[in-house]
Amino acid sequence: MFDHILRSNAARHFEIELASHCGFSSNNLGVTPVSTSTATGDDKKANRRATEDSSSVKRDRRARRMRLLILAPPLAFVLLLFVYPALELLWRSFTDPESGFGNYVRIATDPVVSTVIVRTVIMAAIVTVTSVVIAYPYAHLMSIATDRWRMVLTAVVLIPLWTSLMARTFAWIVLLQNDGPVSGLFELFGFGPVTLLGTTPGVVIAMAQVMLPFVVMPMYTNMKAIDLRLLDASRSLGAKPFTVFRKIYLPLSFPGIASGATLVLVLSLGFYVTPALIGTPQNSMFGQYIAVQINELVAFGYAGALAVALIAVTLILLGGVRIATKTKMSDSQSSIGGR
Amino acid sequence: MEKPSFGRSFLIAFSALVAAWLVVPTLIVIPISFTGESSFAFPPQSWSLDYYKNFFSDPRWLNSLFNSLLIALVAMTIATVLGTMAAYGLSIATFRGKPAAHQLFLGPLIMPSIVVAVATYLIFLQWHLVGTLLGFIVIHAILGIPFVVTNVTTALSSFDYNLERAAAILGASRFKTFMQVTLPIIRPGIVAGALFAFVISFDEVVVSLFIQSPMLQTLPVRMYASVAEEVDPTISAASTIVLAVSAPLLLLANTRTKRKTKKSEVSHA
Amino acid sequence: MHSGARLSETGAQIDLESVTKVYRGSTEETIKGIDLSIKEGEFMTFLGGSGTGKTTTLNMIAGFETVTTGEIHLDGKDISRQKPHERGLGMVFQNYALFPHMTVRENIEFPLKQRKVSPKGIAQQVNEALDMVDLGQFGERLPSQLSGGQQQRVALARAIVYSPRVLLLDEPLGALDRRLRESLQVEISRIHRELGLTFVYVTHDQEEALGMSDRIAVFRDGQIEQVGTPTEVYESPANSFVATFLGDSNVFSGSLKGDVLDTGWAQFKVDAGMSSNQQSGAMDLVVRPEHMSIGDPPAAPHNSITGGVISVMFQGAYRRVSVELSNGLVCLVREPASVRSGVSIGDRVTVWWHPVVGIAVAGEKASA
Repeated sequence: MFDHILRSNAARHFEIELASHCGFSSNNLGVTPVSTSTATGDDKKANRRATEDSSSVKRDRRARRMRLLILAPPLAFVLLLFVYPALELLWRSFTDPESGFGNYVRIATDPVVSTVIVRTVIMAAIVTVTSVVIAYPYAHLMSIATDRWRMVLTAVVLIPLWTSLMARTFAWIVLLQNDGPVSGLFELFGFGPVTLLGTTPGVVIAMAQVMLPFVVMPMYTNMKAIDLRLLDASRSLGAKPFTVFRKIYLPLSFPGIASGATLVLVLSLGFYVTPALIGTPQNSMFGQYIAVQINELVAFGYAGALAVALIAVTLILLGGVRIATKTKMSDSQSSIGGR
Repeated sequence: MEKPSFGRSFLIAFSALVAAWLVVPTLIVIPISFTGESSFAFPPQSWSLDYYKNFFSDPRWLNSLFNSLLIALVAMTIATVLGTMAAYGLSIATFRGKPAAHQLFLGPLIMPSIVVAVATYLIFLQWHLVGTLLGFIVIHAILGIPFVVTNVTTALSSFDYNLERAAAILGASRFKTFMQVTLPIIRPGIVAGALFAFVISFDEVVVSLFIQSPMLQTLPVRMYASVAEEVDPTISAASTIVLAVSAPLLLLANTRTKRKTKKSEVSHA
Repeated sequence: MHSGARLSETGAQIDLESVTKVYRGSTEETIKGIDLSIKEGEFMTFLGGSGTGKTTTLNMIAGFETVTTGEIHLDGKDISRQKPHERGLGMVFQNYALFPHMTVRENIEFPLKQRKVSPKGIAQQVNEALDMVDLGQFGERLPSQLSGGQQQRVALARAIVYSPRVLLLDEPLGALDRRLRESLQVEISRIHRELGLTFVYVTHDQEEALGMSDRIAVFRDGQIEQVGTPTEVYESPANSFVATFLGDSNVFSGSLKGDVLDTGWAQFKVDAGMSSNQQSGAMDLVVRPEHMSIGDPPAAPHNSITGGVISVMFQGAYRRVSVELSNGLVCLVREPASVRSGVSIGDRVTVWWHPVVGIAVAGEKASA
C-alpha cells in the first residue's frame, strides 16, 4: 500500500527506471500484477501470445495499423516538442557559434567548468550521503513499526513530494536566514550563530529534505523483505548486536541503499531551483551554470554542450555506481530469499 | 525485533527529528503568511491578512494565479488524452521499438529539467512561443505526459485483456469495447495521472522561468522572481495558496490509486 | 432483434478446412492443417495437453486469432476474415471475463445492448437467462461478490442470452474446485440439451471430455489425432498416444506376426478382428488396467505375464496394483475392490487378460 503512494508519485518513475538497474524490479516495489486467471501455463502463454501477437497477413496488418494510429498522436507530440528541441540543442552545440567541437573543447579546457562539475559532483555526493545516513534509521523504524505508525511515517516522508517546490524553497529561505529558527537551534546546542543561507550546508539541508523520499522508500521496501529471524538466529549463535548489524543486517539492506543512493545522486546533479535560490552564484551548481549561459550570454551552443556534459557525467556516475555495487548486490540479494 | 530500549528510543527520537525536518518547512509558510510584520521573522509577533490582501489586489499576482490555473487545466487535458493513448497503444502494440517508445514518453521526466528548459527555450524562440499561453500549455503537457503514461500503464498492467475479447465476442466493436469496458476499468489510473499532470503544471518553475515574459507569468515564476529579484513578502500568501491547491489534489490522486488497489485485492481474495 | 423469443435456436455447423496457423516471427506451424466438421447442435470437445493447439484453434473460430491458411465456415459461410464481434458467437472464458465494473444484470445486458434490443426485450431475455443458470436473485450483485462457480454461471448466462448459434467454452471449469466442476458439468450438459446450440468445448481434462461430449477431437502437436465419440476414442483409440491420453493404459510395443504380437520378451495373442486391420509390422497393444486380472490365468487364449507387486493403492471401488515385470516394465492393474485377491507388496503374481480386450494400434515411435 505504501508502495502505491510512492508508485503514483514523481519518485516512482525514477524508481522504476533506475531501480531496475539496481536490482529493484518494479515488482519489488509492490507493483503486483493482478490476475484472476488460474489458467494452465500453456494456455496462459497461448493467450498472452495471442493478445500480443495476433498475426496473419491481412487482418493483422490492419490491426497493427490501428495500434500505430493510437500511438501516432502522442508520439508526434513528444517527438515535436521534446525530442526535436533536444536534438536541435545538440546540433547547436556543434554549430553555434561556429561548427566543430569548439564548445566541447572549451568545456574540457575551461577551469571554471571543471570547477563547477567537481563542485556539483561533490555537492551531489554530500547530499546523497546525508540522505542515506538520515534515511537509514528512519526506513528501519518504518520496517518494524506497527501498521498505523508506518502509515504516518510514510505520509510524513512523502510530504516534500506533495508540496510545491517554490513554497518549500521559500520556507527554507525563512528557516535558514541569519538569526532564523535553524540558526537559533544550532545556537541552542552551543554552536553559536551560523550562516546557512547562501552556504553549502544550507543547500544540503534543503536538498536532502526533498531527496529523502527517494531514498527512504527503496530502503524500506528492501528492509521489509529482510527476514528478521536471521538476526535472531545469528544472535542465538552468539553474535554481538553490533556484529549482527554489520555482518547480517547491513549487507542485506545494501540493495535498498544502493537503489536509493543512485536515485538521489542522479537527481541531485540536475537540481536547479534549490541551489539557485538558497545557494549563491559563487558556489553555483551545473544547472545554474547552464542557466547563466542562456540568461546572460545567450550562448545556446555552449549551453547545449554543457547539457550533454551534464548527462554524460550523470551516466558515468550511474555506470560507476552500478559496477561498484554489482558484485555486492548479487551476493546480498541471493541471501534475501530470492528477493 | 527486540532491541535494547536505549537503541529503540534513540531510533524513535532520531526519526521524530527527521519527521520534523520533513514537515516543518512545509507547514511553516502558513503561519508566516498571516504575519503582521514586514519581515519573515519566525515565529511571527502579530497576525494579519495583509499579505493575502496584497495578493488579491495586485494584478501581477492575481494574473499569475489565473494563468497557472488555466495553463494547468488545459495542459492536464492534453496530457491525459495523449498519455492515455500512449499507454494504451503501447500496451497492445507489438513492434520491436516498444521499450524505446515507452522510454521516450518518460523522457521529459528523466531528462534534467534545466536541459528541457534550455532546449524548449531555444525552439520556442524560433517558433515565437516564448511568453505565450500556447507555449506554456504544450510544454507543460509534455511534462505531464510521463505521469499519465505511468499511472495508466500501471492500471493497464492489472487489466485483464480477456475482458476485451469477451466484449468483442459479445458483439462490441473495437471502439465500443474501449469506451465501455477498458476505459471504465482503468479510469482510476487515468484520473490519478490527470491530477498529477495538473499539479506538475501548476508547480512547474524551471522551464517556465525560461519561456516566461513579463506579460505572461505563472504563479511559481512570480514566486521565483519575488525571492530572487525583489523581496516581495506576498510570496508567503502565494505559497500557502499553492499548497492549498496542489496538496489536496495530490492526496486525492494517491487515495484514488490506493482505493483501486484495495478494491482489486478484495476481489481476488 | 428477437425480443421475446425463447433463448433457444438451433445450432450452426462449423467447418474447419485445412486450417493452419503460423505466428508472426515464427517459422513453425502452431496448427498444422486441421480439417474438422462440427455438426449442428453437437457437443464437440477439443481435448489435449499443454500447447497442443486446442486453444489456438478455438481462438481462430472465435476470431481472436487469424488463420494463416485455410478457411473456417459457419453454416457454409466463410467467416475466417470477420472480426470477432461480427461472427455472432458466444464464448465462456476460463477466468470468467466478467466486466468487474458492471453488475451481473449489466453484464448480461451487454450483448443485447450491442444488438440494440428493445428495453423490454432486454429485461425479459436477461431474466430468462438468469433463471436458466439459477441466479435470479443475484442480478444486482457485482461479479466480485459472487463465488467462482456463480461467476462462471453468470458468464454462461451472458454467453447464451443473445441466442448465439455456437457456444465456445475455453476450459470453463479449469479454475474451479472438483465438486463445483462436477455440478457445473451437469449444468453445462443440461444447457446444451435444452438450447440445442453447437458447443465447442476446450479442456485438458479427459473425464470432462468423456462425460459431456458428443464427440471428442484429441489434439496433439497442432494436429488432431482422432475424432470420435467418447466410446470410440476410449475403446478404439487410433494410436497409443490417444490410448494413453484417455485413461490409464498398458502399452506393449512389438511386431505383429499373424495374430501374435512379439515384443521381444513375450508373445501375446491378439484378437483376430484386431489383427486383421493391422498389417504385419510395428504395432502397439493397448490393454486397459481394468481389463486385466491378477491370479491364475484360465487356459488359452488368455495372455499372461508375471511380475512382482510394487504398490497397491486402495481407491474406493478399485484397487490399483502396479506390477513390475522382470524386464523393468510396470504393468498397471485395476481390480474391483470386491475381488479379494489379497495381493500385497512383494508378492509374485500373474497378470492375465483375454485377447479380445487388447487393442492393437499402429506402432508409435514417440509413444509413452
